[in-house]
Amino acid sequence: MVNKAAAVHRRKSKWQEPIAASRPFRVFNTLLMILLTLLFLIPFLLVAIASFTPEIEIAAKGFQFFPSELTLYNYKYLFGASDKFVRALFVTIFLTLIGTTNTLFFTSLGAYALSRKYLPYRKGLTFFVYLTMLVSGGLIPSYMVVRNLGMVDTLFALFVPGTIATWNLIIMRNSFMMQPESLEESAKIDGAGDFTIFFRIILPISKPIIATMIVYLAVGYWNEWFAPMLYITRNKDMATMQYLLREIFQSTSQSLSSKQAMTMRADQLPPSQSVKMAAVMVTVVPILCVYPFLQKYFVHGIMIGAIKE
Amino acid sequence: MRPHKSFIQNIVKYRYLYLMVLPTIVCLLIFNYYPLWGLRMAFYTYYPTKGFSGSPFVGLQNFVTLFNMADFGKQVYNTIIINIYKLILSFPAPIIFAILIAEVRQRHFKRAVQTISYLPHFVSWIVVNALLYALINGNYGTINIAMQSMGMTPPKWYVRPDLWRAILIITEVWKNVGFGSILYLAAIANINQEMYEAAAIDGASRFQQIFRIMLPCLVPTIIVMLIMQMGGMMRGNFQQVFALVGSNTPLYSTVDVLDTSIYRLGLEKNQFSLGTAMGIFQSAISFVLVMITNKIANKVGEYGIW
Repeated sequence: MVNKAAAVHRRKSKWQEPIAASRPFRVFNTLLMILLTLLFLIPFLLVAIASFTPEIEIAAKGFQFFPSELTLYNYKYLFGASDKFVRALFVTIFLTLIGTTNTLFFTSLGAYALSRKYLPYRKGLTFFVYLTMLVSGGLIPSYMVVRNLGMVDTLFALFVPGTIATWNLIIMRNSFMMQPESLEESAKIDGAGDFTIFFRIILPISKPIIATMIVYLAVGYWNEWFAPMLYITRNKDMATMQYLLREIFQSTSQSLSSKQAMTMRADQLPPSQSVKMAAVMVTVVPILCVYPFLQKYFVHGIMIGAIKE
Repeated sequence: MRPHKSFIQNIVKYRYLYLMVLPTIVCLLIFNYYPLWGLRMAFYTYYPTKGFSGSPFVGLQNFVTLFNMADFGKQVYNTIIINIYKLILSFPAPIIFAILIAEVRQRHFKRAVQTISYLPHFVSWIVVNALLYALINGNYGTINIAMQSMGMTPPKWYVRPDLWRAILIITEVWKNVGFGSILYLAAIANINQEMYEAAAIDGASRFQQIFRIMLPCLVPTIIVMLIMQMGGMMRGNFQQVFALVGSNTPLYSTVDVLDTSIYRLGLEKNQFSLGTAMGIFQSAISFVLVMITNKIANKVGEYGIW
């Protein structure tokens, strides 16, 4: 017994220190990793610094890493000059909250029902869900459906079509299927109904997968710019941050098509460089603050998603 | 044996579970299945105001028009050539990155590198466009300024179509290399350590272990990813091209893809039928490609998805 334990212990200690490559390679590898890390970070760093740089300095010397002066003016201007960005920020937050809640609620309910192995027609229903990942009507027919439902220029167009996230549903279903069945059975003996079992028993023990879904969905809604661009055509009060960001960078970095240029009014003219950078930071910082702490959850999600039935 | 139940009996017995799945069915019917029915548009000259009954049926005429369109060949070529470049350059990137990261031994350093490498995945292409702007904008871009200070003349990036395929590939690698490596890292972590130990005893160097043990163990994962990649050969990355290039027509000659063309046809020029026909063309090719790749993968060694 002791010998066996010692052997296991030996192997374990060896696991923590697998065979390493030669020293020159390890040094090279470490340097390469540092270089890559810098490449990932530098664009963000540049924009962050530019957002605190006075406009005059950018006009004179361009975007730089070491400005001679830092200021908060750009942020004050961004939120003070017009209520456009304040409103967009609220719309984005609202859309993220309501979109995530809505999708999570209905998708997890469907996922739970389809995870019950005794449910008749479960196979067919699952295939019905799965098939939507393989075939799709594509952009134009989907747009037509939303338009015919009268959702254009309403917030509904931005989150109702995404109520059921197929891929997430399959992942959640796989995850629910891995929960022990005994929990459900004992609750049933106590007279609990399906909804009670789902909300009181299954959801609480499925926190990791629910957290994963929240990460995916919230990031998705926060970053959404295409749906607003498609569906919010007249009522610009419903523009999201990403939508505005697209507008202000589209208008200057790229040549305007004559049609766009003609329809631009004075209040739509591009803001100054530094203020633009502040706008980028406002859309990036919330994600920047949140995602490192949620890392284990989305890694978890990828693993569950990789499991075949 | 369980007594056979009728459909109605089943529905009644499991009514709450069916109630749970009902919103899923309804939403998918409306937003996923009903658009499939809308694909008919490709065979009509569709006028949205008149509906299908008021639009003439034209058979395959839209496809003929499509294949004769001046830009169609160019868009197909761009879509494929960009995807081939991506297959060669950005598909292997996460695999190499995962292998290199797995070789890092300092735990905290490794974790920090991983966390930072995921960051670009979590920002939108719109933000990537903004970051790119800060680097290569004509008057203020950091790269431009740096080149000028070294006495070079920076290229006029936004009117140089020859540079943009490279820019698409670089930004794609930058955005996805970290996040894409997660799957491969998991596969590496699943490899039995004893295989390395046994190889080490036989005198295999770490490089040999990587090429003879680690890579072969990654092959199934790589093939599954490859099949999915092949299915997308006829699809451009709409979000990327639309965010980075948008309506900048001087760049269209090298980077305009089918997906952006569909968008313009359908939602800017109201050519709903032509756009839909183009989408069907894309889907058909994608389907064939996936089937062929899967078949090859199965022939080579039971690697296919199904």
